[in-house]
Amino acid sequence: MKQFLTYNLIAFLAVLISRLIIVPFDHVDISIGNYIWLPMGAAILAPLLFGFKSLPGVVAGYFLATFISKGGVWEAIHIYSYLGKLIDSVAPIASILMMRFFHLSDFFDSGKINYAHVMFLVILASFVATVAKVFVYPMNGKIIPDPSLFIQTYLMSDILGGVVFIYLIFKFFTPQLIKNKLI
Amino acid sequence: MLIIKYNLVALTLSLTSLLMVEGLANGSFASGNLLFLPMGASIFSYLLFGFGVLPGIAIANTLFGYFFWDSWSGLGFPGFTGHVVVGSLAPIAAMLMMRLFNLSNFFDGQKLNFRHVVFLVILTAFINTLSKFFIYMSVLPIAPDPAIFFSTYLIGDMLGGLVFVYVVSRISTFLIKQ
Repeated sequence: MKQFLTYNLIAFLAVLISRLIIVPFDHVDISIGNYIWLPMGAAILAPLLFGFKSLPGVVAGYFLATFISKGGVWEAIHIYSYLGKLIDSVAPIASILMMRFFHLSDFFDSGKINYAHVMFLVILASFVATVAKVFVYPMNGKIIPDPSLFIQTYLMSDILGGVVFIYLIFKFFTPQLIKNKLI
Repeated sequence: MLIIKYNLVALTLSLTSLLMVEGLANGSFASGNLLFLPMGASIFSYLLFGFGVLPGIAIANTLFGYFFWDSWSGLGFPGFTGHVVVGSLAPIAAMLMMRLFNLSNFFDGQKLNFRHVVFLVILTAFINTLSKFFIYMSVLPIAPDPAIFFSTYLIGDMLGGLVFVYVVSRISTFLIKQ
């Protein structure tokens, strides 16, 4: 129980902080993605390192960050933001499951993390999250006026943010991760 | 000499699969064919003969798009780019991506790894659909509904790819055993 709470708290803080530090790069138009979506990296690393039980922490982190940055809940635009964050939380898990199901990777080779597979996971999770949003967000021109721009910017930001976040975590926290037997 | 033979086989496979699904086409690029077998034909050809069969597949797509689809439903060069360039290169991009990230070589010794091939079909469908969306979105007279575009193209590519690879590999196995 203690471990469950610790992992969820770390996932929560990772997503919350990584989302809040990129708020200055947000675009006023929801159809243009933030060009470096760091929380994607946090949402990918949390299930990889702590297991799928860290999902509540990721979702809570996303929701609180959205509440702080957008400041509302019940307007249509806010509801879509929350739905988008739910997709961002679940897409990495779906991608991990997909890669495991097809026997492509377990992301760890005898205890050591396989960086190449994790980088591919970032790309796959970004693909899944972006395509899923196409089905959820209304593309009728009111909220998303240009679907091409929407897909381009969201895809790029997810990939870039994911790669940068994971690189930074492994660059600065590898000793701690090894000490805690997470990699 | 062998490469010409392989290219002829790839061209025949692509043309045959295009003809087989022509009846399911809806005459517009705004939504996809729900059983796009040519996707499977190109994946199967690249897996079996290597990337050298690209000309065969590109020629098949060009001939079909120009003559049967009336120069890609009047779209001309963007239609050619979407159908021929993207359609022929998407499986190569997916295969190179999976090799670059050390995910799979698609063969365990001499045997084809079907799980990896199924994933290759899914990844190709993603790349193909996204690329075609960016091309067609700006040139189609009436902008397509993205949800319909994505669902039909993704399902068509995945279903067509899986059905083709499964059926042809079953037939080939049967013929080899005979």
